[in-house]
Amino acid sequence: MAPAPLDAEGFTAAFARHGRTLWVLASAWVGRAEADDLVQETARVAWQRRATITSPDPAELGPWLSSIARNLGANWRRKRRPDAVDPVGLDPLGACATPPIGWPFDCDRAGLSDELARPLAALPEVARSCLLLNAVLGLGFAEIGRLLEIPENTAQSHARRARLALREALTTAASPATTAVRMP
Amino acid sequence: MSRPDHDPMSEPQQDRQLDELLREAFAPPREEHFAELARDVARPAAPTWPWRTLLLAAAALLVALALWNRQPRDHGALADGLPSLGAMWVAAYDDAARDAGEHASCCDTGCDVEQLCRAVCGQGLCHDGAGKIDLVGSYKGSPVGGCVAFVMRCDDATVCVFVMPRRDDRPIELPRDRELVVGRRELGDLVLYSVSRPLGVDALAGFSVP
Repeated sequence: MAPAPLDAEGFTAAFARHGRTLWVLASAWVGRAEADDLVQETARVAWQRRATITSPDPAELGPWLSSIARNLGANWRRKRRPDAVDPVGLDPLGACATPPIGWPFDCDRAGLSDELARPLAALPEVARSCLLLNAVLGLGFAEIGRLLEIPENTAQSHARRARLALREALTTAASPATTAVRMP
Repeated sequence: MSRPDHDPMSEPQQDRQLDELLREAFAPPREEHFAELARDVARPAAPTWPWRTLLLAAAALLVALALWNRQPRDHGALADGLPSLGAMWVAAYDDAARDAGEHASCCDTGCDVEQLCRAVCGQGLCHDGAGKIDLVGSYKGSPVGGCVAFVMRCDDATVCVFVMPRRDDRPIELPRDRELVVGRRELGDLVLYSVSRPLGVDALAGFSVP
């Protein structure tokens, strides 16, 4: 027997419970500046589709909400793909090549250095998500795997490699032998 | 902006420092922010007037009224798409008045008034023949809307009298460009109308029911 659709109060409580997670996920998918918009759109779509919820437990809504957010985020990025290519042509920073166009990251507002922002932007969305969900919210990899619908080991591997890439980027940047070109 | 110093930090220490930087950069809003967001999404839309439905209903009503106004009124045996009764009666009056000296061509001078009215209108009618108004006969000319019509003379003036059942009675309007007057009298189940020039006498006074 299918559970009764969430009423407004139940939906609010469930969404609030997962809101912070969705926001970090949205940041990983579309950038920090648009995370709030994506989360709002996720809420709207989720409310419209609340009749499809199969579990009455609000705690189980995380993967469902995450799926909506990721799908919306993917469409979001396809529509807003910037045309400009990085004109500076930085040397590869260790394992981090020139960041792929598509993830707008306002590193200045975020307070991150260029050396950290670039390798972060260079990560695939899934890897960036695994890293941020673990580093920012402290989620375990089992939970991250459920949210992203990937195995726990895969989530752990993504996060480990992401940290390695960032460490190497920072190490390379800090090395006196590195000729890093600063952004104008 | 800050970055980890290039010193022989252990990898776990570097990771902790990285995580700290990421937490500062990607700190999400408080839970209440998302509760408010969800409440806005789940809030039911304000009820709106069904303006479209109302407009459609009003338009349908106007169309229905327009169509209803165009339909001829059901007046039983007296009206089936005919010209107005007043116009027919005036035409009959003009016809009868043209026969000023004769009257025979448009009248049945030997008619039985009582029998004719009983047959057409369901009740008999009599005329006493007294006074200045003479009953010439029943009118047999142009259509008069299904009622019984009589031609009468008052001195040199022509008077047409039209008799119908009271159930078929309705306001009679003559063409405005004619200086004719209409008299009316109810007798039993009948209603009588007279059409003539202003005469100063009641053309219907001599009638009675048997």
